[in-house]
Amino acid sequence: MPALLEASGLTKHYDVETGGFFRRSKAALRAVDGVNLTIEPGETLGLVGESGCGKSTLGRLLIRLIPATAGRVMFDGMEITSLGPKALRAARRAMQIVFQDPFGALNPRMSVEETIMEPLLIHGSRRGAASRDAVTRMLDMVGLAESARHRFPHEFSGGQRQRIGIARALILRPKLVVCDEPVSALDVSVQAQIVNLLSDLQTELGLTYLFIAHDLGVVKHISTRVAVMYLGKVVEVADKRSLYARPLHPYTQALLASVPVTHPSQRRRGTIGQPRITGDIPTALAPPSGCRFHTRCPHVMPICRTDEPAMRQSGAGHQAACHLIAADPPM
Amino acid sequence: MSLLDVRDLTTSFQTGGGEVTAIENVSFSLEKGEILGIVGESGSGKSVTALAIMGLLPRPPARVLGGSVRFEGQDLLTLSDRSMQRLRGPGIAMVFQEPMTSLNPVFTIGEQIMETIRAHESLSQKDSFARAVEMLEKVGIPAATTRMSDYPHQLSGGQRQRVMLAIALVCRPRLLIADEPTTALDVTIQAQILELLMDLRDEFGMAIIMITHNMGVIAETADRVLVMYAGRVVEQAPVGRLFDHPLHPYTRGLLSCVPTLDQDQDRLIAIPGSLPEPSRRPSGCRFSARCVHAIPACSDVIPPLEIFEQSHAAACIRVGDFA
Repeated sequence: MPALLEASGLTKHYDVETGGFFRRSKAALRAVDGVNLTIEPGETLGLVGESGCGKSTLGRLLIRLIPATAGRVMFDGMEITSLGPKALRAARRAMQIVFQDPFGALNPRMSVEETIMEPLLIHGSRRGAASRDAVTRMLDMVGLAESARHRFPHEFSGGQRQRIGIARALILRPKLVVCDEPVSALDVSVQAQIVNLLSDLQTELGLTYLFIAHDLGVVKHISTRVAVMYLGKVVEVADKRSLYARPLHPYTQALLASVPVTHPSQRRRGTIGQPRITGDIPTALAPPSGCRFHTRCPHVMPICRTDEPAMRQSGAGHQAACHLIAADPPM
Repeated sequence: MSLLDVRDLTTSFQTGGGEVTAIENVSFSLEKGEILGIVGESGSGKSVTALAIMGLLPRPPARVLGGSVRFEGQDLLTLSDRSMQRLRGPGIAMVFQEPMTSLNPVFTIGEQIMETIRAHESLSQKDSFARAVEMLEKVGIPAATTRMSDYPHQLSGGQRQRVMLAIALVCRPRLLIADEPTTALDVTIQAQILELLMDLRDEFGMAIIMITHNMGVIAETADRVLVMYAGRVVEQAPVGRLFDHPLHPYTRGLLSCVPTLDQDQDRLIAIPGSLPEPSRRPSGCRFSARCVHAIPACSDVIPPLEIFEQSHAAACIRVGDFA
């Protein structure tokens, strides 16, 4: 089956002003820098990385919520990076997004019915019985009571607001849904409900997800494959099991080693475990030369400082960009 | 005598809709050098408990309705503002979740650390400078002497949290209260800060109250754990026992609803419903409305915190049925 989405060389640079008031100069913030990525129909691709790595920007680029600086995105056989406004709007039916902050993403002056119905109206449906029925079906599908229909966002808890956001994203029956940190603003006891709901809806509606999150446990639970980002680059992509069992990139290894233990008996303190990485994520205004992780990498070699490593295949469907990896022999 | 002994602490807030209790009958004690984890979600009262101990609740709208907070035998609730101020720093210090809003943006970090030293000790400018540099080195700030003249905005989130720790620890407190100290940080930075906290505990022998919503942080650091829900302590246990034999249905829910790296589940075990607003807490057991084990008796009375075994206590009338 062909991929649902295929991005190649996708790049987003922001011009930012640096320096003081009197010494202004312009610099390019390389939020996303030459990303190649595919999303298969029906899968959940998890996208992880630390704050500032560009994962949210990449999510928005993939469905063209923001224009790319370079590169292209093929969605369902159509190149969406060059679509005109009219064709883009039509294409948007099939690509929707669920945002992180259920408090900021909903218009406080719109009732739940108006909020969920709005995408239908934008795409040409009329405000009639058919649209109202569609809202009824969505309310039921996301587990909200029919009585919620005429209430307003402030009357709901964070978890319920996220259900409203999901209903709004799904009423157009999209093929791809970008879930941008959909549970990280929620209390932990509520997160599981939303994760389960997203799984159920995926099965029911045959959805494909790009699931952006920084919580490696949640990503492991929900994803089919996982991509790891560092400073605007995808550094590793693999099948979920392969990635968590056999992380190849030193950054992925460090990320996994940094996750707190699940039982006090597993505390690693005082034992010689994996080398913890030190330091902070460098700025995307001036990313390090060569491999962008070399400033924090415990295995850094001279070549890492000068040459950027290419993505190499190592095992079925497992790719990583690191000079340490010996590529599989070509078949 | 325990380092800290909190008994039946109850506080309220005046709101537009009347007076609402924030925490009720919170009791626990803490020994020298011990790390007590307080775990709970929003509205559980974990931060209010910390602020009440520090004497930092804004009054009004907050009010302490009852109980006592004994630190080294002295009841902090009866101390004057002046004596309380003298105690903050060398006695009890606190770090907050958001290091950006806790630091003053118009002063250098050096000035902010030295201000703390000068408030409590009469050291010369030179000595307090040296002391501040030493503390910055201890919390892992490289090139500490030059960083002294940096402003908060010049530091990354992880470094700011290190500076907060330096300010909190520069007077060698006997108790450090850390309120979600790593929640705003990335996971690789979180690991560094947690390790630093444990090292500093070992070096200074201070006790720590670690407030978090993250069971992983508890598993990584705590000696003993207090679980709070909707303003009350629902379970208290040594950390190993809590993870091996959680008694309260809420604790068991919290432990099973978070997907972890070492398990594979098809479906997460979710806790139904959502957290009650402080003004709309259910009668009886606060968790009864969301509890799958609830029976009618659960909404009649608030279950007391009862000790079951090995200093393991839980507030649930059905605990006997789960064993």
